[in-house]
Amino acid sequence: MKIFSLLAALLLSVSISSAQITGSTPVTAGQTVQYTYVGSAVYFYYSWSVSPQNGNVISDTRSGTTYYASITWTNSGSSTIGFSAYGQAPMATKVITINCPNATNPVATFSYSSNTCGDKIISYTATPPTGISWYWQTSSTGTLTTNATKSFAASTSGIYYLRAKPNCSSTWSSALATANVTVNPNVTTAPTISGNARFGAGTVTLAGSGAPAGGNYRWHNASNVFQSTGLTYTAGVVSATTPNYMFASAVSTAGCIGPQTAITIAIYSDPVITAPNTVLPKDAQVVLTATTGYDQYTWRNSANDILSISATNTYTATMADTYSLVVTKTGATSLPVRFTIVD
Amino acid sequence: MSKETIQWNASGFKDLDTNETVANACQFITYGTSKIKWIQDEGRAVVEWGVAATSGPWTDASKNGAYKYSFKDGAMSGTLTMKKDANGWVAELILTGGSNDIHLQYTVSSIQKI
Repeated sequence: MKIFSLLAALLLSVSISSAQITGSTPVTAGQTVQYTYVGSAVYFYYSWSVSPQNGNVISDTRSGTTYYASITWTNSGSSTIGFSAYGQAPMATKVITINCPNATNPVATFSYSSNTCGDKIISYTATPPTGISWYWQTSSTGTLTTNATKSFAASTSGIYYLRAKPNCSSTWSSALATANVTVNPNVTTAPTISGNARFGAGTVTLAGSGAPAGGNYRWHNASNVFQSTGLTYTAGVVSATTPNYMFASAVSTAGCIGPQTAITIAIYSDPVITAPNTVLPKDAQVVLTATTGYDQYTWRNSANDILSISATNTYTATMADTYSLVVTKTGATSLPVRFTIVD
Repeated sequence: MSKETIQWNASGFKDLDTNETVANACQFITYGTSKIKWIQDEGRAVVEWGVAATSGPWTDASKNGAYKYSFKDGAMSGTLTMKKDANGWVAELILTGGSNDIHLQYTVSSIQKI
């Protein structure tokens, strides 16, 4: 093999031919049409053009000296297609008239997803005629062009519509109505549980909130086995703080069940009151100190008058009496704890 | 073959990709080992390639033998193989990397030294 210096090909001449481009005109937007140029030579560089670009060349082939182009017409109007070789001016051209199709009404059979809760999926399998798109609408006169897929997620109950529109015009067809679909929204929020705290061992009555209007709550035990449905649930005796004691979820009137809340039962100890002494010095005072860690401290005298309600754990007594303290924490209230100061 | 300028007159070709036989006269002119001219459509479509490599030997085109020219043009590369056997002359043109790959077998009806 002898190697010589590399020289690029030199195009010496390519001339306009008397050959013509053949193929359909007029055409309808959406159609794919094959055009043919029967040439007199084999060109290793050639191209088809569409100007203005109311269509796209989707494939081109050659056999012998015959060249083929498949053009999909997208817009109405008039375009000139051309065949060129070696980047030169077109050797042949043809003017194509592209008509816009009529907005024929959609013809489709709808099917509906079988889910009870959540969006209903409405779908069809038919294919719109070429050059026409079918758009989902929420009213029979809608003109949205945002959804032309074969399935639609209906998020609210009602009738939905399919309308046809040619891609090259703004003319709309009549609407094809779906059945009246019923959509039961999913419950997306886990419930808030109250009543899950108490002072000392005992039973707890749990109450849910956050369910959809008219909804209810489903109660499951620690093994997540369903127990009952109700606005409240009375658990057995609980003697110590227990995480994941139960689980609860909200359920809508349609029976749609939401995510679960894991319930921790909190068991608190009663407060203990201490003081430096139990005798009130003359013209002096005694500071009563309760154990810390509660949300609220309510001090009363022996007549049950409220002396103080605050988040601080101390009360300064200025007279002899039997004082009582009730504390609260996360919604639970303790029994009164008493402390007596004498003169 | 390596020095002479020869015009190869083809009467038509077979498109080996589609098996279509086309009556389409053309000429190849080989200028020794330096360049090739491909003349189609009665001179209205003419291209010329600089030869990058050849393989032979084939010293006498009137006798059986073969000679291959290789060339490149940007992304396109090609070979032109001239050969003669008991059935006569044949020119096989292979071009790849253009708009379409080309694989043509020309029937060469006559040759002449220029």
